[in-house]
Amino acid sequence: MKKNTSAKMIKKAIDSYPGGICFSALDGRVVLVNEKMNQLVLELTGHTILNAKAAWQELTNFANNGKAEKLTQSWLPKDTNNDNRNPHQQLFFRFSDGSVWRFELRFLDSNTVQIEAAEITELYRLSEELYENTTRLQEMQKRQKALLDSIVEVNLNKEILAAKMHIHDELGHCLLATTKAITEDSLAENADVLRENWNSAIRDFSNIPTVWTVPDSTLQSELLQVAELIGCKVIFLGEQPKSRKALQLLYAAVREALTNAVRHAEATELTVKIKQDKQRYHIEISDNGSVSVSSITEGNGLSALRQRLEQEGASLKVLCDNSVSLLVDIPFDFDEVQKGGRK
Amino acid sequence: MIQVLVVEDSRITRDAIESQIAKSERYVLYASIENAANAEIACLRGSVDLILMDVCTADEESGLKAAAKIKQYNPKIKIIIMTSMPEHSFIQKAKACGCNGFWYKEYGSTALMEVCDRVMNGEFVYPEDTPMIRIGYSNSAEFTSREFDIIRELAQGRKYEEIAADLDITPNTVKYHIKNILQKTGYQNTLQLVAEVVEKRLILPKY
Repeated sequence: MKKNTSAKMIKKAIDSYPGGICFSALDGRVVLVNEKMNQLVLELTGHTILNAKAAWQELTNFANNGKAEKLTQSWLPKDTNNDNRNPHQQLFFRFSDGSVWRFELRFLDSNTVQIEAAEITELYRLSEELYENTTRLQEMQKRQKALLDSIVEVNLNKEILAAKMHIHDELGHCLLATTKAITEDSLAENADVLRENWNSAIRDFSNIPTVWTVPDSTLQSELLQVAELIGCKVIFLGEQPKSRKALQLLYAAVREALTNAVRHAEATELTVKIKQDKQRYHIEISDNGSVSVSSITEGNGLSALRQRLEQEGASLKVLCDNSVSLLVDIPFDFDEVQKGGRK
Repeated sequence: MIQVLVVEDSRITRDAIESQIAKSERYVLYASIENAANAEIACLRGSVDLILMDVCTADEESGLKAAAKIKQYNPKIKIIIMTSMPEHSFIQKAKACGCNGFWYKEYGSTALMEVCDRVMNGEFVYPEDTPMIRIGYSNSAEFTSREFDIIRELAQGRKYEEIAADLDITPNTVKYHIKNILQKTGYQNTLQLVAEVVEKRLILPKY
């Protein structure tokens, strides 16, 4: 009698629990289930829990039935209080009344399995809001970074626009003065002033560059000119990278090699051999310096170059075989490297 | 004659500087380049006496970083940093790497050649302060050094926890400073603040 009363009390207690709960043996035989759990599973599967293992399987393979939908978003509020000794699985459903429920299967011990259902409608709404806000914030950060990256170019464009406006004013002034001189028949007496005005406008015009971004060819030509200025010839062999970023890395390596070759080995010639396979450029930079070395200590310049290259997915090796050569590998596609890095 | 290397990526400014050097009887142009990263190479043979170095140069190379490298190996070469950017840390960075002078292209009343003369006579010529820039209801002189540190971190897209770790302070202190900055400027959020600060070129973390 006492035992029956106790069992009824337990059943009554778990039926009054606002969430759904079900205890079963490992093979799925139900030991105890409350009304809420049966009601929820009935809505999802069309029947109450007969076997917990089979019911969980049905919930796992649930296809939306008009009364509820299974939720699979990455940002769902998963219970992360999980450890290997007591693993649990989670499923999320939104019912037709708009309520969202999290079902959780947990192995309590070697014989008992617990399935618990908790209403998380508010938590779901907040998680969705948090996800949207995070996405928006990331987008804003991306825009902010782009703004920062382009500020110098924007500034230069402002300068060129101001210069163009000045030229426009000067040309307008010349045209007006010339028109006036022609209509008033005073061209001859104003010829010198007009000629000087036109010459000045033309001089200003020729000083305005049409392209403000330094073209890739200039990247190389200035480096070659400066090298020549200090008496070192740079020879490029093989096809150079196409992307601007790869070129920037290549020239950074060439600058470092050139500086070291002239400063430490009195080199007069630097050779840059470029080969490529399907994924990367392989670059070898060597010089004709007079100093023979078997090993070098990497200084600030080489360390900074190595850091810059590695940040972009490229790599640097320093080869000491009498003379010093730099071996640089640069990937074709920086975006792919960065995606790989985030995984 | 004093051999001058000009590092300037704006053609109009470069032409103007070259023309002033050409008119001078004391200076002669050694070379004129657009990219600061090439300046160290140009100095390798020891023919340069004075460098007029822009900060934001071609291909996003920093004149300040190049100046630091040049000074390391060639401390005798005089370097004058030139900029049109009111970025608040540039003067401090120029001093830290041992540059001999600093000249604002668009602010102040001292002519470039006057700065060159004074530097070549052994003076360190720096403006007293960065130009004052209006940021919201406030102006740049009203920000503390720590507030600038935090704005700089925000401009690099750092989160509060990352800023706290970088500056070795607590996230609550970061929030406290940000609250103060927003109160001073009247902005609703840090994005408005950063957009304004970057647009006005008060903070340029790359350089």
